[in-house]
Formats: sequence, C-alpha cells, structure tokens
Amino acid sequence: MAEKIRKILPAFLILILVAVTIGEIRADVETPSTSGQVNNVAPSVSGVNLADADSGDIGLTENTTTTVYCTATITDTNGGADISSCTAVIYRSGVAGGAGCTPNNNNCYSVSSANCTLGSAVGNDKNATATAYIYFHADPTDTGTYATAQGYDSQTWQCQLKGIDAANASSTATDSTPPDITTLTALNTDSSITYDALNPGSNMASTSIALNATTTGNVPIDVQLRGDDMTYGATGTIAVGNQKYATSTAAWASGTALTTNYINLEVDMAKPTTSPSDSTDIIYWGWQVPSGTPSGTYSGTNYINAVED
Amino acid sequence: MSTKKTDLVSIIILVLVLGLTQTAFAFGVSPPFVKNEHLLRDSHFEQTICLTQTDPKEEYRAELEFSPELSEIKNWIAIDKGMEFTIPAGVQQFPLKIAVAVPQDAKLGEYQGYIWISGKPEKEGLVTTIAGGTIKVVLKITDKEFSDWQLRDLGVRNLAKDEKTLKVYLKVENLGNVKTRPSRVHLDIYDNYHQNLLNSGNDTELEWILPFQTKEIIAEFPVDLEPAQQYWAEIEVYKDGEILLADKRRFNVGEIAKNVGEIAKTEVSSIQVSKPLEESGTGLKLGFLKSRVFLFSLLGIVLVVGLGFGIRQIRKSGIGLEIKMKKKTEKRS
Repeated sequence: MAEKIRKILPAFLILILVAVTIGEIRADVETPSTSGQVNNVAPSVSGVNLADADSGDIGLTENTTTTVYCTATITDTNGGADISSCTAVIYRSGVAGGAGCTPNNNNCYSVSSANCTLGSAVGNDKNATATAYIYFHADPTDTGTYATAQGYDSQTWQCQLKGIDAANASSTATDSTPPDITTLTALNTDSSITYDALNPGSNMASTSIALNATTTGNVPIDVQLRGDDMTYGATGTIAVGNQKYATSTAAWASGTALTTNYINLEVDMAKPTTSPSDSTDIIYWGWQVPSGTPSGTYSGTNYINAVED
Repeated sequence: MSTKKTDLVSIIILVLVLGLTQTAFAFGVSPPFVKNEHLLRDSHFEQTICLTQTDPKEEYRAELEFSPELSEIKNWIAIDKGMEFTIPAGVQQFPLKIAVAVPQDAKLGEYQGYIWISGKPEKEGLVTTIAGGTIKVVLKITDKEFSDWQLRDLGVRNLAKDEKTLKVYLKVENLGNVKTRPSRVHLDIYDNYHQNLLNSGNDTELEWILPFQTKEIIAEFPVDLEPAQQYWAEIEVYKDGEILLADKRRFNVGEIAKNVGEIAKTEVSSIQVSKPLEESGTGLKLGFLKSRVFLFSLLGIVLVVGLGFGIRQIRKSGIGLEIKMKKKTEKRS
C-alpha cells in the first residue's frame, strides 16, 4: 500500500501544480487582477479664431450690435465627452487686464457658457463657438485717425476661449491671427427741417431751427453739409444759399450759407461710449426768402455726412 | 437782410414736413477711408467699404460723387456697384468694393480727396435731411518698393483616409507693392496625446502673393499617418527667416467615430477613481467564484488534505516504520 502511495504521490503533486498553474492563467484572462486610477486631465484649446459673419476684419453696424463668433477646438484626453462647457472673453488687446478685463462694451466682452456652444464629441475633441454682440461704439484698431491717435492701431481684437471639463478643470488659448475692428463713422439725424413761414424779402432773425444729430459709430466726427435748391412747382426756386447753419443759435448774419458742395462743419462730436449713444449735438438752421419769390410750399433736400474728426 | 414787404400780396412760404419731424435718418461707413501709401505706377489696389444702416425699412438710393480734389485721379478709381446704386430694404451691411488702378504715367505724389455718398430722397416733394457717408481717399504714388505682409488666418484641414499630403492653409495679406510670401512654414506632427513627434517638415516653396492682394496659399507636407486617428499639428510661419507665428491645430485622418470619446469614458469609469475599492473588490470576488482557478484550487486542496490524511493513517499503522527499517537493512547489505 505504502509503495503504491509512494508511486502515485509525485503524479498527484504534478497534477495539483498543473491545475493551479492553469487556474492562474485562466484567472489572468478572465478576471481583472489589476485596478488603477485614471487622472482627470484639463482640456486644451487650439485653433481659436475670432471673426464676423464674412470673416476678416470686423465691421460694425451703426447704432446696433454686430454678431461675432469665436471658434476653437477643445481637446480632452479623457475623451471628448468629458468637455462640458466653454466661455470666452473678447477684448481689445491693449485693454487693462488683457483677458482679465472688466466687461465694458467699448473694449471687453465676456461670453458666458450660455452663449458658448459645443459640438458633438469627435474622438477627444469638441468644437466650440462663442457668440458675442459687439456694440457700434467698440474701439477701432485699424489705421483710422482716432485709432492711431489712441495707439489702438498697433492693437487688435482678441478672443480668449476657455474649455472646461466635467471636473471643472480648464485651459485657455487665444487667436494667433486676431482681426481689427474697423473705424465706423456714422450719424443719425432728424429727417427734416421745418423753417418758419416768411414773407418774401425777409429772413429769420437767427439760426434757431434745431436739427438733432447723434453719432452712432465708434469715432469722434465732424459733419459735411450740402443742399439742393428748394423748389415749388415748375418755376418757384429758392437758391440753396438762402439756408444758413451754425453750431449755435447765431444771429442770421453769422450763419454759414449752405452750398451745393459738401462743406466741413466742425461739430467735434465725441466718440460714443454707451448705447444709446451719448454723443449728440444740434445744428441750428435758418433761412431767408428772396424778394419776388412766388408763394407756395417749397421743398428741397439737405445732405449731411459724418466725417472722422 | 431786413424784413420787408413786396409789392405783391404778402406771401407766406411754408416748408411742410409731412409728418417726418419725429423720424430720423441714419447712415454709417466702415472703414471711412481708402488709404495706400505705397502705390507704384501700373499697380492695382482694392478695398472693401461697408455701408451700414440700423433699421433700413426702405431702400436707400445712393449717388456717389468725387470731390474736386480727386478730379485728376477719378479715372483711376472704379466702384463695383457704379456711381448710382440702391441698397435694398432690410440690408444692414452693404459692401462696396473700390478699386484703384494706377496708370503707367501717373505723377508721383500724394492725392487726397473724398468720395461722397448721398441718398436720394425717396419721395419727391418733401423737404428732407438725408444722412450719407464720406469716404476719405489718400493715395500716394511712389517709385520705392515696399515689402510687407500679415497672416490673416491659419488652418489645417482633415485628411481623407488614404491621403498622403497634409495641407496647411495660410491666408496672407500682402501689404506691400511687390510680390511676397512667407519664407518658410515648418510643421511638426504629434500623436493624439501630443507626446510623440511623428513627422516634421518644411515648405519653402510657397505661392507668391501679388501686391496688395489677400490670398489663401497652401503649404504641403508628405505624411504617412494611421487612419481613424487624431493628431496635433504644430505650425511655425517664418517671415524673412524670422519666426512670425507658432501655433497648433488639431486634425483627423479619416473618419473619427463621433462617440469614441463617450465609449472611452465609459471604459475608463469601470476602474475609475470615484469608488475604486468597492468596485474592484466586488469585481474580484465575483470573478473568482466564476473562474476555473477556484475549482482547480478546491480540487488541489482536497487532494492535499486527502493525501496528508492517508499518510498519517499509514504511519499510525506502522507500515511507514517497516519501510524505513527495510531501507536501512538494504543499504547496510
């Protein structure tokens, strides 16, 4: 019996060893024998681009806002689905604080996550689009007179876009080819002038009819004026020079006669800094009726253009 | 002039406004200038001006006019919309392209003046004030060459699955009066994790950009990249041998599944950190019970215990002692 056991014992031990070894191998295949921690990595942002609808430099619209888009690609090595939101700051590059500027419609716009949309995850990426509405009085950075005088001509409008993940980790990037906001000269005026009724051969005592003018661009302006002769029917004409204007209620003799060619008038209207515009002025008008003028209702057109101061 | 009565019946002249007194007229120009200080003879230059109105309920019939100062050069200037055009109602931004073609025999010097934009009254017979725009024109004709350019945009587009050339797109504005181009574009391609450099190259044979033109040019780089992957492109653009700009862009080769990121996230979360001990403990226990190692181990234990028990019984019965004695006797003999 003992001899039998002695012979069988090594075989039994080998069998046990083989069984344990096979079991270990199978365990490696079928069950997780390791565990590990995957750290959260902050997303990175690339390809930031700020542009308006037609790309290139940003041209504003008088007396309203213009939509601009700051686009970028956000990448997260934890997977594109980990990217949860984005925000942006759009600012004049020289403004105090840079991307940390205080929001101000002249030079700094903060875009919240509500206005920053994310596309679908593609691999580790999501496209981001931050939309901002730039007011007409935002600082210009081109080579206009005002921009140059302010030193803005060496600056641009910049967008810093922030990508944020589910763990609230974030990073930012800016546009490497930022655009300018171009100079906008614009004017909003009353659409008519109503003169006092006069007898032929008489004139108003002073330039007292107010024409309200408001700057609705992003630079200081003066104006240029011209007019057409006023007419009535086929024969009644009052030459354009019978209208005068001034920057105050001046005596008739002190007014400047209107001409058929544009003439500069120094009104020195400041750059608006708010919306509605805070830069307004009044141009005062008067007229005279030459002797021998037939009675009637005379009409004509006066033209008023903004010109950068 | 003093007031006096004529021999005729006293005449009252009224200018009626017909209900327009409370309305306003608005117009804007951006930028309000056409400037170029580096025009050579026989050169061509274009600029786009945008005419704007906030609330253009009605069409704006525009008439353009050159100021007298421009009389000498007005034949050089062409406006794509002509000298009279209509801005349709509802259009807030209306582009106007102004082209300047300097003749071969142009006199050197600076020319300044205005292009006036005036609105035509919509309804004849009304006295109206119409806001328009003024474009300042400043042109300098020179015989000195001037070279400068700026980069307006930069991009890399995705590659198709089997595409072997990566294209870097550069939108370049030539600010000078001679042809120009970036001196070099350098590209480094990294893997999805921005860790391993896979490819590098330079392109120095870029397309020329003619004076005062803005053009998209392409820098090309031969690549052999695995499809269905994402990559990083690090791009350097050189101007006259000096680095002008360094930036990075993402690009894909072939189609990338839209939900790859979500799958990756799900896989990661199974061994995620949120509840690592509970999750790994539970997983290991269930796995062990289901695996063959448990059965084999159980069998092994039973065998070992059984074997041990059997040997013990043999020793107790003296068989073991008999065997030992027999062995000693055999050795001695």
